[in-house]
Amino acid sequence: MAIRKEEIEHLAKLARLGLSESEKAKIAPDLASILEFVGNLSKVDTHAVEPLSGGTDLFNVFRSDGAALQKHDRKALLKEAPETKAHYCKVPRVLE
Amino acid sequence: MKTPLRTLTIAEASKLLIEKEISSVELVKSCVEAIETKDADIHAFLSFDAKNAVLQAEAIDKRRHAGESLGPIAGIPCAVKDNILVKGFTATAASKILEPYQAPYDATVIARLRRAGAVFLGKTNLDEFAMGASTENSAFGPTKNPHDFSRVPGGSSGGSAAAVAADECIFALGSDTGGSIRQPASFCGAVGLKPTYGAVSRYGLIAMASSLDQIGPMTKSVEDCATVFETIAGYDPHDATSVVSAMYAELANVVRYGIDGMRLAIGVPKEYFGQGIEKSVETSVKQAIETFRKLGVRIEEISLPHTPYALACYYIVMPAEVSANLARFDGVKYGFSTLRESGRHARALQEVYFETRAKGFGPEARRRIMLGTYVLSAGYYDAYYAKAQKVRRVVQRDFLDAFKKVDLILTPTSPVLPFRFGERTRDPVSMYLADVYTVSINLAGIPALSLPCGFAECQGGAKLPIGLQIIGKHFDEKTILQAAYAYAHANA
Repeated sequence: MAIRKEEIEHLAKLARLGLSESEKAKIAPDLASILEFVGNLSKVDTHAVEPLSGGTDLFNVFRSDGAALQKHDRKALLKEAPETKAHYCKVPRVLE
Repeated sequence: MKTPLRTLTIAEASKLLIEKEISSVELVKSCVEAIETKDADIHAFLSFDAKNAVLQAEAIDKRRHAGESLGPIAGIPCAVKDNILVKGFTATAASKILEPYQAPYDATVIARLRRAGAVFLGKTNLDEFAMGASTENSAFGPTKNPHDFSRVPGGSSGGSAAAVAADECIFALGSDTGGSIRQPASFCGAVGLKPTYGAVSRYGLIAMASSLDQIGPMTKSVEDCATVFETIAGYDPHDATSVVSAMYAELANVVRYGIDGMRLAIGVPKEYFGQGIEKSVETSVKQAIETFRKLGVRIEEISLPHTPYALACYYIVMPAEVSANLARFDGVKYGFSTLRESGRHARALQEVYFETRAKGFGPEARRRIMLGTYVLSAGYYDAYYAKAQKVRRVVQRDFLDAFKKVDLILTPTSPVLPFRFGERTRDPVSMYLADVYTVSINLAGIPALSLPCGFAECQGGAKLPIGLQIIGKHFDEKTILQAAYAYAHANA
């Protein structure tokens, strides 16, 4: 199963991942070989099987409906950001 | 020559500390000496702070001298996989994208160890974001297997396993998504436990695949494994998947009773002894099974029929979760960012995302992000992701059915011995096959432990460790550890 270059470009766009031309060329056969490998799942009869979506069957875990106390030091968290302004992370313009 | 203190187990060191035969500072300095002399070759550590460790040890010694009664972990030096947050240390996950990141808080497991008085030496190497089986995917260079420097220590918790094996620490923490604690423990001759999903909080663990990840201990003995596990396990309101009923008080004491009088039944799945297993691994594991028989255990051949599909199922579920979890690394909130590059002025936010992620992620992370995006994307979701979730249920059912007849399941941890650097890096699928005996356990959410069961003599005289995997029922780490203890002592 071959994966077309346009498809690689579409996926990279969805994933917000910059890829060079040579990386695009290398990742296509890698993905193809992995997809071929996982293709054997189609042989498993899963008729009427409920999906297992997590490692657990816990259902609807809620925290108590109260005010959460400020746990983290805001300054320490903001120190990790590349650009900040006042109490915010700063980003380049989003809308033209 | 006197044996260095660093070779002690937690149980041994703790006894000497309580009797005031040794101090925590002496114990820490012994580990520091090992790191300073050996780690330039082994490269188990990504960061390490000797001065800070000695300060932590001094504080514990002072409390002990003041008459405070302290637990078994107090004053014991440990190493932590670099995808677990320890306040004051970097947490890189062995990725360029987190290279500048300083942990602003402690993971819950670290807070619990700190409360118990553990001393943190530093952070250990891994495959980038825990994606790999050899540490060769680390952005900061691989770790070497202390038993043979030409071979990998396994992965992804290879740094933690090597640090334990080389006596650079007394114990370590790892994380296990598809075998990342057990396989390196096997390759380095350590004991490693992947707890039941939900037994240990994941708060402060840099997420890879959230429905599979668990933090667990890597130690020199089964007893130590129980001690560390008991300390880090239990419900945490910060992790909604941690389970309220997960209680393991007094576990380390119970484990020492072994399995006498328990009339255990142990299953041996035929699917784990087929094609691809190395002869020395098969021989050692079969001898271990005989040892259990002599200990009064009933051995039964069982079948886990969907074993051949587990790895494929894993390589859909895991990358799908990876692609979602790694979306948070966007160059805006923390870590590496092209915004930091001097003189650069990004025209648009999109540009920051694309460029930061292009430069920050290594090849395997990119591959899994792309694969995960593919299996979740429109048109492929049902064929891949939805199908894999159903197969995951079927794989779990195999184990639940088996556990109606047996108490534990025994398998090799890895079909192969520690392999040489570069041997499996050319083709991603050949590296993925290194996880073949461990991923099913994560898919099923059950606990499993790897412990040493022998050595294989190799060309050149190196002796390479072999690991035995003991798999148990959900939240029944106790029986696993009791059986492992009985085995380790029967062999001693």
